[in-house]
Amino acid sequence: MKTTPIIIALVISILALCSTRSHAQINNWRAWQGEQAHIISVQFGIDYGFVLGVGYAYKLNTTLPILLNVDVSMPFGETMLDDYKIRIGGQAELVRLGDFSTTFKAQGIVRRLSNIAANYLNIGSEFGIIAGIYRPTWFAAGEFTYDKTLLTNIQHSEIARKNSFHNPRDGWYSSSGGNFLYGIQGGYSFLGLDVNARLGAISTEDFKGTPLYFPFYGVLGMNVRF
Amino acid sequence: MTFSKIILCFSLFVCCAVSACTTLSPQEGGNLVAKTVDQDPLLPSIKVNGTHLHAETFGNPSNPIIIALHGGPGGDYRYILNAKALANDGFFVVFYDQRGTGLSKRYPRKSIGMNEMLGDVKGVINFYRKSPSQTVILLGHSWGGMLATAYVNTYPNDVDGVIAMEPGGFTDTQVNAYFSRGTPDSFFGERVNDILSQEQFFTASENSNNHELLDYKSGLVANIAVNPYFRLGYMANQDLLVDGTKSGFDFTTNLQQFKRKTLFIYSDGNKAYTTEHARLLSSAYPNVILRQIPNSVHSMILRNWEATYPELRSYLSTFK
Repeated sequence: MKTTPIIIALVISILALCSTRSHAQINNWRAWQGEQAHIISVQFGIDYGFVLGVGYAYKLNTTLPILLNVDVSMPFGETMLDDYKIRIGGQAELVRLGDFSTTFKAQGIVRRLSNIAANYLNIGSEFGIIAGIYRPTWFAAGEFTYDKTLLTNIQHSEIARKNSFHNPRDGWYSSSGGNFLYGIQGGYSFLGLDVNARLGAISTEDFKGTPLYFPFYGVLGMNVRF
Repeated sequence: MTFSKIILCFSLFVCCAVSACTTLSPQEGGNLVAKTVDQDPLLPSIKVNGTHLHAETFGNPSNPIIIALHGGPGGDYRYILNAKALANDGFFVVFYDQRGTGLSKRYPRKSIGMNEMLGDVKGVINFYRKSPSQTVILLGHSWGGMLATAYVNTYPNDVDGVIAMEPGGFTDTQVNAYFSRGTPDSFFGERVNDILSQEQFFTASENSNNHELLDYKSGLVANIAVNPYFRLGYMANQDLLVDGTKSGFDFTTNLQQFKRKTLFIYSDGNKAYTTEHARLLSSAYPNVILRQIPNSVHSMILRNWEATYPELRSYLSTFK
């Protein structure tokens, strides 16, 4: 990503913060106040690449605390908007015992990757459990997430066809597996803002190993509730 | 709409999408990557040293033999096929994909070491050599030049000549020095993030033996835009390059015993490959001709064949 897109991303982030809006993936149930029902979030970190993301979440007015969310993240690179991940879903606080809380999250994922070999469009899903201690001004929790690819459409590039010995087949491919993400998350809340972080490791779904090149994730984020 | 209904709708959508589409399997050879010789019996192959190698030959089998060793490790011989023109000069040119790469048989991680690679070279020589007096020359590009050097370091009396074309290094220290002069990718660049992002689309680990996905994923790292290829070999690359440089190696310990004339070639377009580096490496050979190919790049057999061929022909003419 060159200077201009970075500036655009920063401006979007700052505008998001200035307009008291922010990201929903990391949520402190105890920090919600009064009539607040919305979160706008920004995040930056390593999540299958160096990514920048924004998100929105809406808290339902239900007995069981439920938060619906949508977020978009994009990896850095010279070409903007060729790669992205959109997650739509929600999370619900299933267990609350004093300060202890357990949340279940489920999300559908649409992600696209364009590189020299092909254009990939993947439909996936993500399910997770987050459990920890939640107080009005801070929280610390462990998380366990299953990120599953379901279908991937692949359209190979002319370069791939030219240089490959066989003609790689285009079309919809069945699941190529999934990853488990396990780690910790925490945050500090003040003045309607949450500063938060996620950190952890990635394992392939067969637990035989890890992704090949960087089996970790780490994301810093800020939420604004209003 | 409640939360549970949203999840239900999404699940139904995915189920419908899956059932409505005829999907391809990413784990099946022939879809994302080519089949290997053990999967496709129509591919030309040989069985030597307990393995199954994709191999082709050009020329009269009775002529002096040139065994072409491709780069990588984990590459294949498709990008050096221009060298088959040497068959027209009276040589029998043999190409083979090394163990665990190209269209040759695959192996689990940590199964391929120098013993296997040297045994395969010996097996290929013995497979094609009709008599002990038949001349054999090793032509190795990049990693192939390292392998050729390791071979004559181990068997100094087994072959009659070596052409080493821009080998990375003959010791782990030399290889690391060479790599350190390369231009690193930016963490925030397209290439790094394309490689990392791909991990969420294809999730095989190196312990999974899912060679189709691993080899396919290697394409981004090896940059498939550079050279034509049959199929990359992830495990072979990791076993030989990553583990090899970690554990250390020295292919020159016995190289003074190889008295035959050696041709050492390097390009002027590969800025990481300095003249000092070429001089240092080539000096390990007791009887060496050092040549720089003008206006050439690392993959000179593919990209600069017209400039490379006269040097090869001049050297090879001494074997006829």
